[in-house]
Amino acid sequence: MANGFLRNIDENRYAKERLAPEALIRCGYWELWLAALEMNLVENGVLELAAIRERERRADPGATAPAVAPDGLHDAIGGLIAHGVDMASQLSEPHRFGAGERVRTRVSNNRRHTRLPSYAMGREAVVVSRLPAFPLPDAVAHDPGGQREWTYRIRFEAEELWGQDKGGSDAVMLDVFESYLIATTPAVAGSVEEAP
Amino acid sequence: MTDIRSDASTASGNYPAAPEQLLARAQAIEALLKERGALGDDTVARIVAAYESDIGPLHGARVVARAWVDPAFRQRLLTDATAACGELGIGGLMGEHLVALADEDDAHHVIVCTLCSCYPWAVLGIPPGWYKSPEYRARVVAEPRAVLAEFGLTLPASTEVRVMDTSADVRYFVLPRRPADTEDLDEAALAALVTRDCLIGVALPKSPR
Repeated sequence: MANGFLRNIDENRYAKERLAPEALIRCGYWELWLAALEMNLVENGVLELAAIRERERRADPGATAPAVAPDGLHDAIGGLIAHGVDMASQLSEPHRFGAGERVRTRVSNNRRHTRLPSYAMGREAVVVSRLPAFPLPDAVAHDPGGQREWTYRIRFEAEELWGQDKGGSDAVMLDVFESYLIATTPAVAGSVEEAP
Repeated sequence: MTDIRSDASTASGNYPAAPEQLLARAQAIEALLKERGALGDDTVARIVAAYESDIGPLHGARVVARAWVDPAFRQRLLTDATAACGELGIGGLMGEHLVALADEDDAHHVIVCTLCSCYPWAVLGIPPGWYKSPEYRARVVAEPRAVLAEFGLTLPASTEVRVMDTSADVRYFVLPRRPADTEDLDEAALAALVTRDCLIGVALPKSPR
């Protein structure tokens, strides 16, 4: 990402998710990474697919004249490894939910990118912690300038996720974006009900 | 939100592929990027070297050992792990927002990323193969005790198992309890007891005795 060819991690995750189901199941871990990287480089206009296909059929596809890194690239990569990229921010609107509050997760099957796992959709949980705002993966997978949302750490009892037979004393914690959550407390009389 | 990126056609028909074909494809991509002036011959090797020799689970072990010997540090670690790790010079990519999950007498933590393979690189380096496997990712949330038992860790029913699914931007690691019978060990000797698996939560540190 230091050279600007790749825009964010969610476009890469979304590329993997767009692979045909049989490819997603049959490909190895790094094979999925290669497929997604190739999709991102082609879609972002960095390389042409035909050029990659032509090159990979050569006897020695990796052979090149000696290549020197562009000015500043290695410093930028070193800085990225040492300092990371802080994507956190604060929003002008406060967090909608507070620690200890009961919430329900949304259910969505729109086939776009999201970071709410399907096992955790439509389940009740308790907010453990308020966390900073981050770019919403559902938005930035398509649009690098997409909106930000507050995040939360929430806790599900194992029984809520897996039924009565599973670990009554155990729990799963999950980090979620604010729009993944719905309040479970009844609306105050006279207030407008939020559409689900 | 427009659905501008729903087409996977650049990949269709080309995956899965034979290992030698995948190698050729990866070499082709790197060569094309070099020829267009985007990468140098040593760019990829430098990144690999950073995670092979400089960044790894020894960082997390130092953090845990410091927390065991220094109660004030432990408190700072639980309040703001990013800042506390920064005191030891530990931080950076995939460690921008760290949280340490402290095991208690009756609670044990284990981390996973069910959706991909998110992991606190700055503290633990690159994740092991099993952490990235579909089997671990699917099973540890649904049957954590069975998975932990396969790692050799059987916990009493009175201990609550808390699985942390790393699904957003915070990166987590486990702060295990200090093993009994280690009072006479110094910080470096304590750090040697803390393995990568202890920091993920699939093992517990053991006293050398």
